[in-house]
Amino acid sequence: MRTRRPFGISMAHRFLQAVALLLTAVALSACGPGAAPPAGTGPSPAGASEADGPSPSAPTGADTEPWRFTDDRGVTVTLPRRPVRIVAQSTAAAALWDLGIRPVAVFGPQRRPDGSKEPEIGNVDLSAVESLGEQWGELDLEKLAALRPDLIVTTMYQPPSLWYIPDEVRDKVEAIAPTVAIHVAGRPITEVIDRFEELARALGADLNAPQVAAARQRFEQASASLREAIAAKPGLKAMFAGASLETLWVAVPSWYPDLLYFQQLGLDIVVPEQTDQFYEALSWEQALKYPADLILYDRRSYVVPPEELARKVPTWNQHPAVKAGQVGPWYATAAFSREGFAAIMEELAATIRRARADVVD
Amino acid sequence: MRPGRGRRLVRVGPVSAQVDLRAAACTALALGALLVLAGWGLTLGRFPIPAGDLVRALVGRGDRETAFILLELRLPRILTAAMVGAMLAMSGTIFQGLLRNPLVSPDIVGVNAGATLAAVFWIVHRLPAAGLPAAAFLGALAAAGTIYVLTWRGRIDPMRLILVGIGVGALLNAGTGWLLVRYSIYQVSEAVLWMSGSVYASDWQDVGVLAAGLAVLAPAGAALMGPLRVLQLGELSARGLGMPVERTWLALTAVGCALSGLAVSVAGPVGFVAFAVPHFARMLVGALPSPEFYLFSGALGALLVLAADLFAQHALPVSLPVGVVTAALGGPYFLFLLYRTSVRR
Amino acid sequence: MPTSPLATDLSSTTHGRRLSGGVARAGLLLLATGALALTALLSLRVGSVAVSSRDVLGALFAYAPESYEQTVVRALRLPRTIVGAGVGAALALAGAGMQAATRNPLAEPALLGVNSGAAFAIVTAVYLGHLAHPLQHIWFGFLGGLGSAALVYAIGSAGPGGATPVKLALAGMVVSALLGSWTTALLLLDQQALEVVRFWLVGSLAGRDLGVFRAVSPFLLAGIGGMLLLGRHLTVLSLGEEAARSLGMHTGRVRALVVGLVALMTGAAVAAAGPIGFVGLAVPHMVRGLVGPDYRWVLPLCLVTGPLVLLGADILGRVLARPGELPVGIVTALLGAPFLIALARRRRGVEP
Repeated sequence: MRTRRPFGISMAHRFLQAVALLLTAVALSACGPGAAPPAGTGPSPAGASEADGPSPSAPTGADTEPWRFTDDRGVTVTLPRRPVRIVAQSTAAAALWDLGIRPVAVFGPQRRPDGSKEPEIGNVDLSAVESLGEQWGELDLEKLAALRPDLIVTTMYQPPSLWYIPDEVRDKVEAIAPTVAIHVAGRPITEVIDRFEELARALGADLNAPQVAAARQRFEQASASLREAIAAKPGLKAMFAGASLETLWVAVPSWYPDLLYFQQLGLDIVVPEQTDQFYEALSWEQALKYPADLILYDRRSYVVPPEELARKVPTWNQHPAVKAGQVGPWYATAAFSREGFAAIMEELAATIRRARADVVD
Repeated sequence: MRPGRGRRLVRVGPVSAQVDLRAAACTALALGALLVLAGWGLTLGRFPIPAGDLVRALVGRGDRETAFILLELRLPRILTAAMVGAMLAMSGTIFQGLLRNPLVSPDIVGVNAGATLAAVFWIVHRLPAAGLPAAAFLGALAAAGTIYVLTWRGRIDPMRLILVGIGVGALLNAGTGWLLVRYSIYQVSEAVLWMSGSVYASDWQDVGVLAAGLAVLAPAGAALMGPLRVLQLGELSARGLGMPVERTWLALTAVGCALSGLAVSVAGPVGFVAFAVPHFARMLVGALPSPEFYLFSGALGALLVLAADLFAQHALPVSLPVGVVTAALGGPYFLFLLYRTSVRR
Repeated sequence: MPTSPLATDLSSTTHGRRLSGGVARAGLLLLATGALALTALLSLRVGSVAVSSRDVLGALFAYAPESYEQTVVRALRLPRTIVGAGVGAALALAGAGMQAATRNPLAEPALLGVNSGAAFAIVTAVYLGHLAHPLQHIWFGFLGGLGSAALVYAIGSAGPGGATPVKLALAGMVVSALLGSWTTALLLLDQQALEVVRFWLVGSLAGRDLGVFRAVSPFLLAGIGGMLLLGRHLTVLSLGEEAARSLGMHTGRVRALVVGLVALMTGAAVAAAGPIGFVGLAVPHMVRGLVGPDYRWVLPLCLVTGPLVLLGADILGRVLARPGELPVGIVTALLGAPFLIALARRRRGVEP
């Protein structure tokens, strides 16, 4: 376990430093006379930064024990004190936000081009946090450094790749602040949320706060009622899918935390033959390959809505579940929040209660 | 264009050489502008660094934070952008001269298509990022080698090379297209970023690789400009003058491929530079290949790509990959030049 | 500026045994038509789901919507076969027209910037939020294609000398590269737009309903009809500027007309199926190799061979990648590229 040194500089550049110095000196002299260095060269104060949060030098009182957290890569981050200035990827920020942790900045999806919030960002108040870029590969490293974060939290879909931190810049990001990565694919959503709660607790969140406790209670109730609804419909087969006009794709449950949890609650979900991708892509000729009583259909904005499929893709209309009118919503990018997921489970339970289980054998 | 215009015999003691003065002067000017731009670029960014701190950091006496911003983020990116631009432009100069065709760029020998297929394959399969440049470079070389071998029938015929190049390029691009529709959007968006050409992730390893490549390939290419000029007289004349035509072809192709292959492997296919910069260079200093012209083309490429990257980072509300900017800004300007020259002619 | 080898005479790339004489050529045309009819039937019969010939006939003449097999044939395979035939014919004819008008054996409709213009327009439309109405994209694509072709032609024909092949090709390349990079920028800014258009961008016949085709077919038909009437002019034009002028042809006017028709039909084809490469390049080549440079024969043969090739590629794509499918744009490249390479290798080593 290594303790990370902030702003560690690789040694590789030393041999080029002389060249760089020469280059810059020439350039600066060309830029004008204002570039002369001041005479007194003590250790430069770090005050000239844009960061407007609490000064890092402010003493935090009794909180002097080293802070440790082992993330889902098995990497243990050790810091001299509990991190305060957190930068988080959208999904992680949304999960932490509901537990009372307020990041100083977020990166990853935030707003749609039409100005509405992306589902990934959950309840985060975007006017209260800095943005370090929304698109993949747009993480603004200088702004990140200028914020002087204590800790960077992100997610992982396919470890060890960090979500929204391209592999090529990972070393630089980790030179600015240590990263904690939470694995959000391939295990039930309860495990993911548990991990975010452990992290939040370590960061000083009060998990017994009334709001958090209420969310937990609602989650437990929604789980119980969904389990009951599923048990009341033995033989019900569900398929989670989305489509474009060219392709029908069927979700592979073992990748999706929500589907894994539904399976734990007893739901019988279609498992496609091909499982190394997040989904199996089918041509529309193959629309009947996986019979099911109920289709839960991806409601993300860019997925062709089922109403349009009904008009344009006749083989969709021949799927037994569609014929029986049993198509419900699937919120594939839901935030990892007990409150939010409880609402999703309540809706699913209602959908299942209305559904017939005898559409296919 | 009369040959020999603006060339002077320069004599330094016992050494004498014909120097294209205009190209040499323009090269010096471009290099000067490059230095100024690079210095200015070091001061730009979200992290404010006063000039005094900048100098202190560069002599190794600044605080760690400033040193990190300058030495790990800004300087490698500036150096990478400049070197990528220089190498692409030099490569374009070689291929446009070799194929006697102003419409070609290194893409024609499959360098971009090969590197792209290899890189996209690497990215969508989540292979370790450290190996990405090497994979892209090998992809570029494999594609170029395939095209060369397929074109070879006792000799290399330029038109045949272009045709084979288009064919192999299309084949490789079809493979890339297939990867892009087959894999989930999560993997694909990362690949698209690479494909747009970016120096966002430059580090000192990239700088080292490019610098080493440039140190070998820039002089090699310059030295081959003389033979290239002979080759342009026509194959028969070149043979008549005793030139080993096949070997010269191979050498020029190899240098051109290595230049663009290295650049693309580090930055992705930065659009338009290899294609357009030789045109700009020709408009400024004339049409015939010479070492001076080659170096001027490189200096101009470095200047333009660095300027485009600084623009992409600092002048827009969102930061864009440099490749988008080189094409989005270079394209209209090039169209304007094209329009103006055709109207005048 | 050195002269471009792209402008060399067509005859240097297409040589070998050619059919001459009206009877042999007519026989070839008949043969190709027969093959096309067979391929069209095959396109209805073959796919990732097994369908019997009885169901194919049923779907065509006694459609029973409750039969899944018949639905597959009638609702999925029939539309894509019709769209594929129309698009294939348009691309092949447009390619023949481009190659004659620019005297450039490598010319293809994409050279006019139609594909990249259409792609840019469609991605822009998706980005700006017209997500719910893909049918609207057709018109964006069509207008984008025409707009970029007009730009290419305006720049390529500026100044004395008019639209010379080299100027046109240069302008086309630059406009294509430019629009391509703008498209990439938009796709980078909006990952969801990428998700929506990436299948369209490789060129596919899947998911095309007949409404789309009906919308663009007037332009497709006008382009095809107009081009077929220009056979004699194209033959003369392909002889070269001097020869054509000495035969009393207004080369500028004819070239503009050809380019206009090409833009029209390619724009319609791209809007319907996405950018599909190689058909416009390879089919006219192949046909000229068989019947020689007389465009009165080249054009009708392209009209038949274009759909033949495109439908064949589409069938392959459906069979090769079961249970998904390979977009037809990828298959045409996989088939067309080796063809082009073989063609290039057959070429005599002539110094340009």
